[in-house]
Formats: sequence, C-alpha cells, structure tokens
Amino acid sequence: MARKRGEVEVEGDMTPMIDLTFLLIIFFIIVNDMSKKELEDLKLPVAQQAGHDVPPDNRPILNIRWFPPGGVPSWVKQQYRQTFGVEIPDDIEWSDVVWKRQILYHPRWDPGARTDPIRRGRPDFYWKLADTMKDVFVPYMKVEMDETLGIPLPDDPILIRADRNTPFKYIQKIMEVCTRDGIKIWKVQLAASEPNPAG
Amino acid sequence: MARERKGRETDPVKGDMTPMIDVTFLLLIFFIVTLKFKILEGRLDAALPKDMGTSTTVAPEIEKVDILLLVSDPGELVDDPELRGLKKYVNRRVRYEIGTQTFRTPEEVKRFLAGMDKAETPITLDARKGIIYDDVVKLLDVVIELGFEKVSFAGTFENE
Repeated sequence: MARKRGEVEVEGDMTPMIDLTFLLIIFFIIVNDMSKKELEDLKLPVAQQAGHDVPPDNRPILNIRWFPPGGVPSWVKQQYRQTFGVEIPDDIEWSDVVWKRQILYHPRWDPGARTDPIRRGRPDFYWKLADTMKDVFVPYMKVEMDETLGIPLPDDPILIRADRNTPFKYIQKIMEVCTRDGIKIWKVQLAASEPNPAG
Repeated sequence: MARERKGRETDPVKGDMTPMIDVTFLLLIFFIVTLKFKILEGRLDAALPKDMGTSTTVAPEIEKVDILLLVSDPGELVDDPELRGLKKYVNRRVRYEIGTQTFRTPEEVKRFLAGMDKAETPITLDARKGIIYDDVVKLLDVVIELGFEKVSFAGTFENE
C-alpha cells in the first residue's frame, strides 16, 4: 500500500513544474519589455571622449528615433494610426521624440491653438514635450538655488539619446524647450557610443 | 502498522521537493526582475545657458568661438555594410566656419583651437540646416578632447 502511494505522488508532481515554466516565460516577457521601456533601439554616433555612463536614479531619457524615407517599420506606422490618426508619408525621413515608449513629438504634431512662449506668436509644436517636462520631469528633480541668478533651478540632468542620422534641429529644439519657464533644466547629456576597440 | 508508518516517514520526503523548487524559481525570478538592466553606452555632458529667456542687452566683450556647422554635400543615404537594415550617409561633406575661416574636417578645427585657453574660452556650436547628430558629435568630441569647459549650443531658426 505505502509503496504504491509513494509511486503515484512522484509521478503526479509534474504539473507545478510546468506551471512554473510558464510563469518563467511570462516573467521573462515582462522583463524584456521593461528593459526596452526607456531605451529605444537606436544607433548612436561614436565619440572617442564618451565617458562611461553610470545611470543615476533620476534621469529622464528622451530618445529621438530616426527613419529613412520609406523606412518606417509597419508596427510604428500602426502605432501612429492608432494613437494619432496620422499616416506616415513614405517620401520623407521621419523623426520622433520618445520617452518611456510614449511619443512626445513627431513632425506632424498638432499645435492646436498653443503658441511658443519663446518665439511668441508662432505655433507651439512641442507643447506635449514641454508639458511632460513641466509636470513629470521637473517635480521629481532635485532643486538647487543658483547663486548668480538667485532662483532655484532643477539640478538633475536629462539624457538625449538620438539616432546618429537625426537632424540636429530636433536636439536644438529639445534644448530650447528645456529653457522654458517652469522647466529650466540646464543639465543635458548627449548619448554616444564608445568606440569599438576593433575600429 | 509498523511497516506502514515507516513507509509514511520516508515516501513524502521524495515527493515534497516541488515547493522547494517553487520557491527557488520565485526567488530567482524576483532577483532577475529587480536587477538593473543594460548599463548605458557612453555620454557627453553639456550644459545649457541658465539665462532667463532671450536677452537683448549687450554682453561684455570676451573672446569666444562660434563654430558654424554647414552642410557642403549631404551625401547619399545607403545601407550600412556593417549593420543590416540600417542606413548610413556616405560621401558626406560638412564644413566648419569660425569667423571668416573655413575648415573641412574636425581635425583642422582641432589644430585651430589647440592654442586657446581651454578653461575660459566659450565655444558655441551653431548647427545649421541639414546638420545631423553624428556631425555635431564628431565636432563635440574634438572640443571635449581638447578640454574646453564652456561648450554651448546655438538654437535653431527652423520652426518645426
């Protein structure tokens, strides 16, 4: 009797193992997703002087993706159709600003009635980016009193990760948005890859 | 009875390994999830001017260097031979203008800047239409290599 019962128990215990295997698979899928959340898959330019980066805890990362004319992957096109109702034309190059997988700016961004606070009267294409910086980035940043200006300024940096082929005007624009009232982020880091030892 | 008890004592030990494995896997997964992923590439530090918006007052005259980046020939966009599916510019020519002088390569700019006071001279990189991130980083790399401490970027005239 006893021996028989023992045999049955051992054979029947495969199910929790399978359960766990599935759990593992699911976890790895989630984890994989999470690791991609902040860093988009970009090809950065190479810089000899690029210091090795130790990511600090609180540093928002703005990714600038770049696609050649006609080179936008279909899943990105689908994303644009669903979120913005925008068709990406195939004859122009396309860049957008992505923060935590959220698109904060693209070349067909609707300014609505908003105007640029620095270039008065001009439509503000970067309002979403500016609002995100103001409401999400800056409130969590360390603030330090600036002695020469006599006003408090955020003391944490942001990191701009741009594809090597991105037109520089987008980076200039992000920097300009950083200087707006209520944002005033002045520490900006540009991502570059360290040179390959092979060349 | 005695035999049965003996059986009870030894058999469940074999079968009870599963909760142990359960917990081990759970722990393993927990540590994997909490682990920080992917240490980032490299980075170049830059600082933006802390001025209050745009100013019209005349700044005191100091020696400063404005480097204008202009595209001479955008080159062609071709498939990168090293990275499948990615594009790359070839035969691209960029020129750098400092005052009235024109330079063709970052190395020429490097030779020109080498004798300057690195701690005090402010350098502004003024990228114009068509300049891409790669062009700017190549020049910035040289400027940082020389040890210039006050590097800033000019804004853009383009509205979009």
